Amino acid sequence: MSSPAGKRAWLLSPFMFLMGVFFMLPLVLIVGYSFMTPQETGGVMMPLTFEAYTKIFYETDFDGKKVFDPSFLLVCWRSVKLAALCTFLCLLAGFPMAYYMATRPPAQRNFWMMLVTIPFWTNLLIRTYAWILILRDGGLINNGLRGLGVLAEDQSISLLYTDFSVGLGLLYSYLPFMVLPIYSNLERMDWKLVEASADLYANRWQTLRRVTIPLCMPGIIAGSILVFIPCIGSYLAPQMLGGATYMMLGTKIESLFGAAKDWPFGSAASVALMATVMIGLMIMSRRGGLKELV
Amino acid sequence: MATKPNDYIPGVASTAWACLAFLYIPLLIVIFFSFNAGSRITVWEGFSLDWYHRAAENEQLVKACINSLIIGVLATIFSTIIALMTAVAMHGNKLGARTQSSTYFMMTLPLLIPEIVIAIASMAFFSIIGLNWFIGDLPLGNVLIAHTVFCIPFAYSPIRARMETLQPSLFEAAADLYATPWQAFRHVTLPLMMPGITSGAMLAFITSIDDFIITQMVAPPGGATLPVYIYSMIRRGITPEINAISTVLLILSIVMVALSYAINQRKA
Amino acid sequence: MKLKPLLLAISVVALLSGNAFAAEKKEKLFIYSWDTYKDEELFKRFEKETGVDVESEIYSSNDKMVAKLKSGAAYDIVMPSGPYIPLMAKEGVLMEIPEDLRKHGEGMDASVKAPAYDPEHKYSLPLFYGTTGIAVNTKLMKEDITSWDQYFKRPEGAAKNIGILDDTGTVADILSLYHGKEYCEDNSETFKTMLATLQGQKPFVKIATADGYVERLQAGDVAMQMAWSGDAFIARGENKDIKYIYPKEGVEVWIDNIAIPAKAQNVEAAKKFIEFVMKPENMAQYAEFAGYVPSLTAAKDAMPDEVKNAPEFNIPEGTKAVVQMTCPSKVIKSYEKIWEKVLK
Repeated sequence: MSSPAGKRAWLLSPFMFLMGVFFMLPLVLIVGYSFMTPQETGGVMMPLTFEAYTKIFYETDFDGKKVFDPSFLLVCWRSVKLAALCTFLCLLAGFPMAYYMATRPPAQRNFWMMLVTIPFWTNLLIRTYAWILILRDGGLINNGLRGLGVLAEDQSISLLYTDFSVGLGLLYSYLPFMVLPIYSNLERMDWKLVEASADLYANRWQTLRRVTIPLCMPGIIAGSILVFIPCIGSYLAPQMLGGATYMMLGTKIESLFGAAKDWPFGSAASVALMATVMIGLMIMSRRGGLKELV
Repeated sequence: MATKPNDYIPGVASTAWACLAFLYIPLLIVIFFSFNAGSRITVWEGFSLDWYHRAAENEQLVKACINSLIIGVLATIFSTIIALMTAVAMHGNKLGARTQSSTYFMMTLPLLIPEIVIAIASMAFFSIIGLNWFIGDLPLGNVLIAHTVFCIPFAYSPIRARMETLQPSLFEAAADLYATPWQAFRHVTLPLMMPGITSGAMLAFITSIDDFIITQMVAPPGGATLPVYIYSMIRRGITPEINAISTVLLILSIVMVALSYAINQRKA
Repeated sequence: MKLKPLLLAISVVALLSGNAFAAEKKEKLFIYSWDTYKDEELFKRFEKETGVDVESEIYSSNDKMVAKLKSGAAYDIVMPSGPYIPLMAKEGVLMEIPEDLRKHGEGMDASVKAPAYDPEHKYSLPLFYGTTGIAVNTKLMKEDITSWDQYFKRPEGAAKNIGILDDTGTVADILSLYHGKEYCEDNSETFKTMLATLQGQKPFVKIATADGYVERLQAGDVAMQMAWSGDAFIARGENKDIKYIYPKEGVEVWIDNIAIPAKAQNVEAAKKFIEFVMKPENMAQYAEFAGYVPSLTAAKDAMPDEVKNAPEFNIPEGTKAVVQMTCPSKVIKSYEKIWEKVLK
C-alpha cells in the first residue's frame, strides 16, 4: 500500500493500547510488587524492600536466623529439568510426525493438519482428566491388565501421581506445539535440496542430518520455545497428574499468591522465572527461530 | 511421494500414527463414557443418553458454556481485527525499524512469558483498577479483555504468514486504478487475506475457550467459563455430564473444522 | 460475500447476548462456598421461595477464598472456617452480621454457641462443624488403623498410598495432637519435630492436595487419607469400603461459618439467605448434603436417624476433640514454612 507511514501507524494504535495497558502494565506492577512487603492475608504494603529477592537464596529458620536455603533453587532446577526433558521428548516424537505430514501429497497434508488440531477443541482439563481415568490404580490400563491376568486382583502398577504421569501429561499437552511449527517449516522447505543431496550420493540419514534438519532448524527452535515455556511454568499437569507432593515453579508461584500469602515473593519468583526464560531465549534467538513464532 | 527417493525415512510413518493415536485416546474415552449409564466413569454399565439430558438441565453448566462461547466469539472477533490491522501496518517494513521491532517484540511477548505469570499479573492489575463491567448482564469485561490480549498473537501468526505471500505490487496496482485505501483493502487485501484470517480466528477461538489459569484468576463472581466450572467439579469428581457437554462441543467443532476444510479444498 | 463468516459470528453473539438481555433482570445473590457445600437443590429452593437468583462458586481452601476476596471479587456470602474470622475481620474483608440475625446463635449446639474466635457472632454465624480424622479404605489397607502414629510413621517397605490435605492449619493441628502439644505452640523445637514427622512420612505420601480427594478416596487411589468427616461420609456413600477413624491421639474439631464479605453487593439477599439457612429444616437438608453436623440443635434433630447416628456425625465418648484456634501470625508463618519445606 502506498499510504504514508503516519496513516499506517494508527493501525497499530489499538494493538499498542491494549498490550500496553493490559499486558505491559500488569507486568510492571508485578515487578513493583516484588519490592514491597507482604500483608498477613495476602496483598502488599509499604515499605519498599529487597526482602523478597533474598528469599530466593535465604530463609529465616524457625529460630529466626537467616540461613542459606536452596529449596527455591531446587524447585527451579526441577522445573527446568522437567521442561527440558519434555521438550526433548516432544521433539523426538514431533519431528517424525511433522516430517511424515510434510511428505504426504498436498491434499492429505491438510487432512493431517485437521487431525492434529481437532483435539484442541476439547478442553485441556477434560483431556487431562481422561488421563487420570486411564492411568489410575482402578483405571483402564490397570483394569485391562487385571482382566488379562497379568496382574492379580489386588495388584496394581502405580502410573498416576508419579513423575511419569506428569511427563506424559506435559508431552500430551504440548506435542502439537512442536509438530505445527516444524511442519510449516518443512512444508515451505525446498525439497529439491534433498533430491540434490541424493544425487550427490548421500544416503537418507546423511541427507537428514546435513540437509533437512539444518534447513528446518528455525521450526525446531520455534517448536522448542513453544513447548519449553509453558512446560516450565506448567500448573495443571503437576497439580492434577503429579499428586502435588513436589513443588514446580508454576505451582510454587500459585501457592505464593494463594496459600502462602506472600505476594512479594511470588512476584519476585515470577520475575526470576521471566528472567530465566528471557536469558534462554536470548541464547536461542542468536540461532534464529524467534521469527518463526508469530 | 514415492518419486522422491531420499525423503522416506524408516520409522517416521509409525511414529506419526502412534502420535496421532496418543492425541486421540483421551478424546475417545471422553466420548465413550458420555454414553455410560452408570456414574462411575471407568466402569461401563450400559448405553444411555441420560448424561446428555442432565447436562442440558444443569443450569450452571449451560451458563458456563454460554459464557465460554460469548467470550470465545467476542475475543476472537476483536483479536482477529486487531491482528489484521497490525499485520497491514507491518506489511512491507514501511514503519521504521524501531516501531517495527517494538511491535514485533510486543507481539511475541505473550508467547514468551509463562501463563501463570500473566495470570497473577492480570489478577493483581484488575484488582487494583477494580474494573467490573458487564456484557449484557454478565460480568465478563475483565475476562474478555484478558482473552483478547492473549489471543492477538495467535490470530496474528497465520495472518502475517498469509500477508507475506502477497505482492506489494498488487496494492500498487489497486492504487493505480484509483481505488481509495479502503476500497483497496475491501476488494483486494481482504479477499486475498481470507484464508489467513480464518485460520487466525480459529486459533484465537481455540486459545480462548481452552484457557483456564488466566480466566480462573481474573473471573469475577458470575464470570466462570467452562474450564473454570469443570475445575470446580474436580474435588467430588467430574461427572459424565462434562463428558456429554464435551462431546457435543467436540462434534460441533469437528463439523466446523471439516466444513472449513472442505471449503478450502474446493477452492484449492 | 467474504464477510459472511464475520457477520455470522456477530449475529451469533448478538443472539447469545440478546438472550442474556431478554432474561429479566432478577435480583442476584453470589454465594462463594466450600466446594462440598454447593447444594444446588437447596439453592434452588431458596430461589423459589425468595425470587432471588443464586450464583454459586466454590473454593477448596480458606486461603484461596481470602485471596479471591482480597483481589476484589464481590461475593455476598462466604463460608470461612473459624480461625479465619478474626483475621478476615482485621483485614476488613468482612461485614458485620446485622444485629437481628445474631439471635440465631442462641439455638445452637453448646460447642458452637459462643466460639472463641467470635463469641458474639459479630462477623459470623456457625453453620456446620465436623472433625478431621483418617479415612481408611479397608479393602486396600490391611492394617487396623487406630492412631495418627500409624498414619505418620509407616513401616519400612509400606506402600506409597497415603493422601494428606494441603491445608496448613489443619495439618499443624493434627501434628500438635499427635505430638501431644497445644495448638499454636510457638516453639522452634516443636516446629522442627513437626517438619521431621512430615518428612519421615513423605516417601509414603502419594497425593498432597485436597483438590479431588473425595473422588480419589472413592476410586481407591489412596488407602488412607487425612480427611474431613463429611467428605468421608460422602465417600462412604459411594464406596462401602471407606471407614472413618477417630485416632486415639485425638481429632481436630473445626467450625465453618456463614459470613458476609465487606464488598457484598446485595446485603439484603444475603440476609434473606442467612434467614433461610437458619431454619432448622433447611439446615438439616444442607448438613446432610455436606455430611457435617449442623450448628442448630433443632436442625440435627430434624435429620434422618441413619444420618445423625452415622459414625462421621458423632465423636465417640472419650475421644479427645480439640477445637481449632486462631494462631498468632508468627506461628501461622512457621506452619506455612513447614509445609513449603515438605513440598520443596
